[in-house]
Amino acid sequence: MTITAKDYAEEVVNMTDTICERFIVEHVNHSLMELSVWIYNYGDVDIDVKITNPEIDNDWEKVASGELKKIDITYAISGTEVGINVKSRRDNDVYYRYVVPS
Amino acid sequence: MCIIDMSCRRRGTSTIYGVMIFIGIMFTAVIPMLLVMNQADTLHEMRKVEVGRLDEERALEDIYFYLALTVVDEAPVLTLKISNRGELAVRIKGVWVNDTLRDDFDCIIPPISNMDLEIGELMVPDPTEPVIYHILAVTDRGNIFSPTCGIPKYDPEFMVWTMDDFVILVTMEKRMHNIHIIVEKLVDPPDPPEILCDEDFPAWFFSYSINVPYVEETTNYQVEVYQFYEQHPSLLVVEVVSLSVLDSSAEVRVPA
Repeated sequence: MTITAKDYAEEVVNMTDTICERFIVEHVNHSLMELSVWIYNYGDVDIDVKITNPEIDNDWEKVASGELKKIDITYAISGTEVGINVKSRRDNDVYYRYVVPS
Repeated sequence: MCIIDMSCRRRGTSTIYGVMIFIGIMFTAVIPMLLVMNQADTLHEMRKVEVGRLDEERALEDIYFYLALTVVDEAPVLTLKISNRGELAVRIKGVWVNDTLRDDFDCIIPPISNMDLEIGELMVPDPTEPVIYHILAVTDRGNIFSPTCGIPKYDPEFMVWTMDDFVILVTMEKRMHNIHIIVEKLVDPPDPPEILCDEDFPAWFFSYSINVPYVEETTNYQVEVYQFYEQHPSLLVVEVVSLSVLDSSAEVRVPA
């Protein structure tokens, strides 16, 4: 019984953290082979984020509450714009359209 | 009979024991579990309300800002003139100037008030190349604002800073020729006058737009339009127009 109550409470806390997550892609720039993405966590909980574009391979990055984190990834940009999809470990998504400066 | 009596007494005792065990389980397991679950639900609801309030506050942030460039020791210094029109105090946590973040300030703007935020010197990477500066202000609630007055540019040909969103349009009601236009910025004190345009248009033309470098608050300009007949100027129109950060274009119509 106690285990069930504890599990339930943990589940509710996790669910609460999921709905409390708030983050944005604040800025993006690129060089020849590198894309830099700044993620700002303006929510109350710490988050783990990852860029989930299929052509981009990267690991989970921890972003503390109130922190602005720069994520550098190896990526050669082709075309005039890139859609960047950032996902948190709790399954929240943020989408950013980066227009490549001419 | 005696056997039946014994059985009833035992049954009664068992019932009492059963009830006691049931109450024991209720108090030691079920009620604490219900209390923990209820507490977790309450916490969840409280956080939901709190997050909803934060989202609402984020949506209520209402600032606009424009840029003022002043040249100090031949270096352009950028100042953000920020106006908070919302009912909440806004904290600017950083300003992006192209790919550089400037966050070495603590700027909290109270509701319904204005503030100047000096960002510092703008670097020109190569003075022979034109540079465009994209400037964004980020608040701690996660909003990103862009300036209302356009994008500052450095033009190496004339070595000037411009924000070409400010325009005065001079329009003729019919095509005219031998026109001369003078546009003067009305400053206080009026000496020396700043002439933005002093130009002849000998060919037929219909309209002409004058780019104004940048304005602060509301700036007035005097527009004079002349037409020449055998070298003698004839004044067609003289008009004072205003440009402001919220109204970045003005039109002067010249009657036929």
